Amino acid sequence: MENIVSVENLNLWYGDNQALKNININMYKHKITALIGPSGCGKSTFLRVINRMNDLIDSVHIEGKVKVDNEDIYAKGVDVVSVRKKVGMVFQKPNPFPKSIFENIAYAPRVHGMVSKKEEEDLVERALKGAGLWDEVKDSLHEPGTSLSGGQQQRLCIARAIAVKPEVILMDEPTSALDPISTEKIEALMLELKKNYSIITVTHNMQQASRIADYTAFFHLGDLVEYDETESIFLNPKEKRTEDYITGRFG
Amino acid sequence: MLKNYRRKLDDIENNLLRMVDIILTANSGMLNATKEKDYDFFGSCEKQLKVIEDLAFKVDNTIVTTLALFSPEAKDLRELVAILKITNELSRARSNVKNYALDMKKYFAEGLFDERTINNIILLQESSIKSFRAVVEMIKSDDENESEKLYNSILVEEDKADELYLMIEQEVLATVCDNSKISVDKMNSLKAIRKLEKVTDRAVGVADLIMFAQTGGEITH
Ligand SMILES: Nc1ncnc2c1ncn2[C@@H]1O[C@H](COP(=O)(O)OP(=O)(O)OP(=O)(O)O)[C@@H](O)[C@H]1O
Ligand SMILES: [Mg+2]
Repeated sequence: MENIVSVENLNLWYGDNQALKNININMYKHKITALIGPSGCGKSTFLRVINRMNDLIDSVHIEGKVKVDNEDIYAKGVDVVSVRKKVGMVFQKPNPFPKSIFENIAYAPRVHGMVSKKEEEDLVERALKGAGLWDEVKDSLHEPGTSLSGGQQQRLCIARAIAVKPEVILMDEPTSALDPISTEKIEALMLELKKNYSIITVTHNMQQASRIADYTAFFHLGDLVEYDETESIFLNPKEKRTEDYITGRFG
Repeated sequence: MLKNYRRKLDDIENNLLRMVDIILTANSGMLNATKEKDYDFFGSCEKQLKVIEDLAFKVDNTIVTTLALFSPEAKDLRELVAILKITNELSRARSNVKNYALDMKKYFAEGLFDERTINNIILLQESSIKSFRAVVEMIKSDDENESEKLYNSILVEEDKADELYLMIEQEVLATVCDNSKISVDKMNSLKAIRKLEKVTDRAVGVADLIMFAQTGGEITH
C-alpha cells in the first residue's frame, strides 16, 4: 500500500499547552482513515496540521515532519497555497460561499489558474457529478449555494473540494450536523470518492468510523493511542484505552 | 445500505449456499450410487464434505466482523444471528451425511438389504435432497409468502422421512432372527440410516432459522 500522508515525531503546542505528543503515523492512498477520540484529544488539531491550517493561529508551535505525497509540507520554501490545493478540507458545518452553486465550485480552480473560462462548465459538472449532486442542482446552477438543504450544501462543499483535484480530502465531523438520510448519502459518497482520493475524516460517531473507514486512529489527550485496520480496532483493540472508549466505558 | 455492508452480506450468503450445495452434491451422488448399486461414491464424498467446516468458520468470522463494523438492527440483526446458528446446523448435517456415507458403504456392499428396503432408502435419500433444495430456495428468496410455502414443503419432507425410517426399521428388524454377524450388522445399519433421516431434521432447523430471520419472533431452534 502506498503512503499518502506520513507523519514523523509530530509535536504541537498552543502556547504552553501541548496538544499533540510525538505522533507517528502513515496514512494510505485511496483509503478512508477515521480519527476518533474524546473531545479535546487533538483530532481537529491533527487534521489542520495536514493542510497547514494551524499556520493561521499565532500561538501554535510545531515540531516534526509531515509529508503529503512524499513532499515535506513544512519544509522551507513550500507554498502554503499549493499545499491547500493538494489537501482539501470539508468542515462540520457546511460553509458554501455566499455565491451561486456554479461559482462555489468554479472559484478555486479559477484562482489556481487550472481552467479556462470555456472549461469551467465542464469542471463544475464533473465536480457536482463526483459529489453526487448534479442531478439535484443541474437546473439551478445559478441559485445561491445557501439555498440548498444542509445535506446538499455539504455535498456542494465536497464538490468544491474535489474541483481542484486534491490528493487528500480532510473532513472534520462532516455529517454531525446532518440527518441520518443525508448522512448515509455522504458516507456512500465517501466510499465512492476513495477510488480517486485519500480521505481522512474526524468523527464522534463510532458507527460511522466502523462502517466506512479502512483504518482508524484513536487519539487520547494528544497521544495517538492505537492505529490499525478498522476491523481490528473495533473487534480486537490492543489497548485498553481504545477498548474502553469504543465500548463507551470511558471516564 | 452502504455497498461495503452489502458486499459482506453477499459474501455470507454465497458461502452459505456453497455449504448447502456440498450437502446436496453428496446426497445426489449417493442417490445415484444407491440406484446403480455402485457404492464407490460413498467412500469419496468425505473430502468434499470437509470443506463445509472451513466455510462455516469463514461465515461465522465474517458475521462477527459485520456485527462489529455495521451494528445491524431489526431484520438485519436477526438475519446475521440466524446464519450464525445455521452454520452450526449445516455442520451437523455434514456430520450426519458423512457418517451415513462411511457406514452404509460397508452395509450396502455386504448386500444386507432386500429390494423393498433399498427402495425406501432411496426415497429417504430423495426426501433429504428435496428438503435441502427447498432450503436453497429459502435462502435466495426475499418473499415471505414464498418462504412460508417452502418452509411447509420442508416440514412435509421431514414427516415423510420419519415414516420412511419407521418402515425401514420394521423391515430390517423383521429379518433379524439370531445373533449372527449379519443380524448385528443389520441392527447397526439402522443407526446409520437414522443419520440420513436426521439430515431432513437439519433442513427443518435451517428453515426455522430462516423464518426467524425473515419474519421475526423468537428463536426456536
Ligand atoms: N486555537 C486554539 N488555541 C489554543 N488552544 C487550542 C486551540 N484549538 C484547540 N486548542 C486546544 O487543543 C486541544 C485539542 O483540541 P482539538 O480541537 O484539536 O480537539 P478535538 O479532538 O478536535 O475535539 P472535539 O472533538 O471537541 O472537536 C484542546 O485542549 C483545545 O483546548
Ligand atoms: Mg474537533
